[in-house]
Amino acid sequence: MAAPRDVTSLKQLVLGRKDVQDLSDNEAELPPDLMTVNMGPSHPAMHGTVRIVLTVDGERIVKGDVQPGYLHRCFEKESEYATYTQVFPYTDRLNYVSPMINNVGWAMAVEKLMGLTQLPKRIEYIRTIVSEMSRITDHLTCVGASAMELGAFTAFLYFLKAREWLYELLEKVSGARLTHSYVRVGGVAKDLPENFNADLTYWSRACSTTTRFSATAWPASAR
Amino acid sequence: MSQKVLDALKQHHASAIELTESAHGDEIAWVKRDQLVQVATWLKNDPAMLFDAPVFCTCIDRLDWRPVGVPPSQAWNESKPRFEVCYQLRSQKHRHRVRLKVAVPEQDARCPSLAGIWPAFDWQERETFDMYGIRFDGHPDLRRIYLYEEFVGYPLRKDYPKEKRQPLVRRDDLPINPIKAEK
Repeated sequence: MAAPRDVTSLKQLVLGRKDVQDLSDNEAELPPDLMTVNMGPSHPAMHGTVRIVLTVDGERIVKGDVQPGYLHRCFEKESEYATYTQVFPYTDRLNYVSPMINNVGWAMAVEKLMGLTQLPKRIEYIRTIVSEMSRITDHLTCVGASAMELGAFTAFLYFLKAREWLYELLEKVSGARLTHSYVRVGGVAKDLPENFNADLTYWSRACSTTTRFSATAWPASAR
Repeated sequence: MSQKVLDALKQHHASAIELTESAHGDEIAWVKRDQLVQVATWLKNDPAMLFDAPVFCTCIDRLDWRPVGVPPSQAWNESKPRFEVCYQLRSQKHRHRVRLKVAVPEQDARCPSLAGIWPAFDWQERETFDMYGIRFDGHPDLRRIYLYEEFVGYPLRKDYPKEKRQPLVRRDDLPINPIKAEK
């Protein structure tokens, strides 16, 4: 990129272009120089921290150098110094809207290495049920947040309400609302609570009704 | 499960395959380093293989590692290379999987890059380089992905201490600036 020679061209470089009425006839073309813009690591349009070094040609992005790593939590290095059971709380936090699935994934990996292939049927059912609940909370978050990005903030709130019911149910199961640490190598921490079957039936119906109703809160263009 | 992949590998690339093993339901093929790209290209393009999904690439640091169950009296091959670079591959068409492993010695921590064959390995190899210091020959843009350029060492190597800190900003609560101390 050519170095700016004076204040005017510096302005032009920073702003990308002059106002149309200020352009003289021989300047009718937009400046052809590429510009480098830093986006992030913390930017209002981003939900996490990631830095993107953008090379822009006017409004058009011609190159983006994505630089992740600002949220790296050294999961692997920390786990090197933990026992197999102590790793479960870390896996909760890998994706904190579906911690049960990460719990189960870790438990299955350890069991595979141990050669533990036969688990009681009840364990498999409990793990599947809580994983499915976790999957639904994850989808509710993902779809709800996507709707919010499209401008349907009300739908997002309905989705989070539905998610909260499942969180409460998972809290009854594990004792923690968000980071459950419920699964263990070879099983789960404790049995399902009383009336779990009735609660799950009731609240999953409520979730289904709420999310269907919330569709009316989406803008017509996104429906 | 995917034994037929290992059999085909041994049949077509007998000179490139050092060893094949199956453990815990996974099929593993040890590939000679200088023939990795050739084997990988074949795995991707051969109609019976069609490995179109690069799952992950990582490295195993075997520093001071002993296999479980081998008594100390029994000789363990100390000359085994320190690093194992792993490529996990999957075919969505044939629904089979295979893991390629390359032995990489510590003194010459290099491995051919597969980013040219499966572009998804680009960032994975950058992470492996960042964390283990394996240099991938032929990689289009090999630089640290998570850590900053000034970082010294490779944090996921087993001899990198967990407590070590390398802040870019001066921290009065730390005794010395570790970056300056290293240089």
